[in-house]
Amino acid sequence: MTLGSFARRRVLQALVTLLALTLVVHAGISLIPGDPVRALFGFVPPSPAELAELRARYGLDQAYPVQYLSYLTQLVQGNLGVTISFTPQPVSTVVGASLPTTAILIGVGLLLQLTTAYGVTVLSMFRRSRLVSALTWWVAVAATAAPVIFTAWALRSFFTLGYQGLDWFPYPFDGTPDAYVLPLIALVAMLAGPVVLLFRSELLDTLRSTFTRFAVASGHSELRIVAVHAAKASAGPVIAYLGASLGYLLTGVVIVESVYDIPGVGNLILDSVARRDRAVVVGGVLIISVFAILGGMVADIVAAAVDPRIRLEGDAPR
Amino acid sequence: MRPRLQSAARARWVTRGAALVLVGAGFLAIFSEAPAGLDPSGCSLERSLVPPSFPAHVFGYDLQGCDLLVLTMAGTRNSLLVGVLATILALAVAIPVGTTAGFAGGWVDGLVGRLVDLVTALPIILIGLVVLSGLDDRGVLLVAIVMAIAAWPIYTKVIRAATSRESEQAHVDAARALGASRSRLLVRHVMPGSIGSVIAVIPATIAFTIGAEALLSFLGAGLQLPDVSWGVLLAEAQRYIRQAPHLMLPGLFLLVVTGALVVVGEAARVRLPD
Repeated sequence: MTLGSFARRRVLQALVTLLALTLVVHAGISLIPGDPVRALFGFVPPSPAELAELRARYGLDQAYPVQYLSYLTQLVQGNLGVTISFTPQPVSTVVGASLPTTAILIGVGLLLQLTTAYGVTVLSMFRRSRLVSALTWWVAVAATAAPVIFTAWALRSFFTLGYQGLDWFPYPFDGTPDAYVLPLIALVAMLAGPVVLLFRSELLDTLRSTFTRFAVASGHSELRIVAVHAAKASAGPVIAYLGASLGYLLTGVVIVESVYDIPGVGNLILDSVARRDRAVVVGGVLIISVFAILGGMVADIVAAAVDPRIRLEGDAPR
Repeated sequence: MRPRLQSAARARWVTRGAALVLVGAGFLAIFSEAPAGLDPSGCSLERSLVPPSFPAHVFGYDLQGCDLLVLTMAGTRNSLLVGVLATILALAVAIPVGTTAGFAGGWVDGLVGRLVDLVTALPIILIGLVVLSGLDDRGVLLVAIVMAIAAWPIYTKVIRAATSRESEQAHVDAARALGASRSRLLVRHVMPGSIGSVIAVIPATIAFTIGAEALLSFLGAGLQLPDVSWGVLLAEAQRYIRQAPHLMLPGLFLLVVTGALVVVGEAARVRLPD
């Protein structure tokens, strides 16, 4: 199979996954108890006529399959629907408004994950120091083990004034670069830990191989052997892991947004879930899942480009 | 000048220590009842939020004036139970599904592969949060089921790959040539070699599950009082952390146990063949 047809197949699979995703989330939100229209009125009960009229306006009076199909028809035309409120807004506007903040968290988080994991792993390898090696391992284990909700909350409690901690960073979130520091630390700790552990053990395997001995004999420096030659040869499983763990990254982003009250897509989804505003939830989940699926696809194609064995077997590594 | 060769796992005593921690946690989970837990007689509002004192009450008291250390020890049971139950449920799905996919190949394999991809792409824990927050009566089993839904794809992937690899071994071909039936091939010749691969993944997944329980409870969608777990205690702590920072101490148990699980998982991953 050529790289082109491998890539085409992977794109098709991603589209099917996205379609199934809309059904799962849409049906999931519709199944749980709670009525979005009733939720609008708070403690003042609406008249049955008002309820019926609003339900009809949002198509909630139809049978469920009809509701889903009409949502899907809209979606294919690029229309994410409108919010359920007294002043309905297009979902794309609402999600779009909160997307930049989330995109910064995802983008910078991913970048820091890669650089931190690479840096720490190489550091743990090439200095002939037991202390550095042990220290990086313990830090990686701690970062992997600590639930992100706990890290994020502990950091917020210690380093913001919100909870009588040190007044080092602003809380609640005000959009300044300072306000991103703690959320990103919590996010990167959770993301980079497992990558360091995996990359480290792959690198150690590679460094035992004869090809490393050849590189040493060729007179390359230790740093170059570890950071370039061996790192490239060990990258396959790490890329596969990164691609498969993007859902994990997105869950982390939502949690961090919720702990630091960041007005991003994650908080929007959580709020809309509480109001049972189906269109917003599905729209938000779709947008962030597109990140995950596209990322997974890119990772698979990159892995196939790096390692011809994968595309010859015709399937991504599992 | 060559890079120092070292083992990917830490020294043996670290793994042993971690295993010991897990045994201790298991012991706590089985034998630590919640005596002072929510039993009014063991708690006193006069001691509400009293900070830790050494050596008698190292964790101090919670809002109700219960000894926080006793509560934390009592919470071990539910926290570990969620992890273990979720693992059992996830394996109950993943072993048959993964084995079938890996052994049968073809469209069955393709279908399972897509399904696994779909579930991996979904933020399951968030969906779980949505569904659970709509329910009133959330027990350990319900929370464990949500975790199992999040965890089965990981196990399925690992088992599928191992089964597929094992099916191509010469000894399986030999058995087939001797006329072994499909079910005999699977049970006697393929599965003994493939099931072991999943063991290395279990500890890290339990750690993830314990953390996710804490997450759900922290956000008010997991276990709730009078059930005690580390997550429930941290959720309570969240409200009064300002007056009483020592309420964060149950997090220590959480960190030590998930840390020990990660250490044991690393050792298993490095030492067991995959």
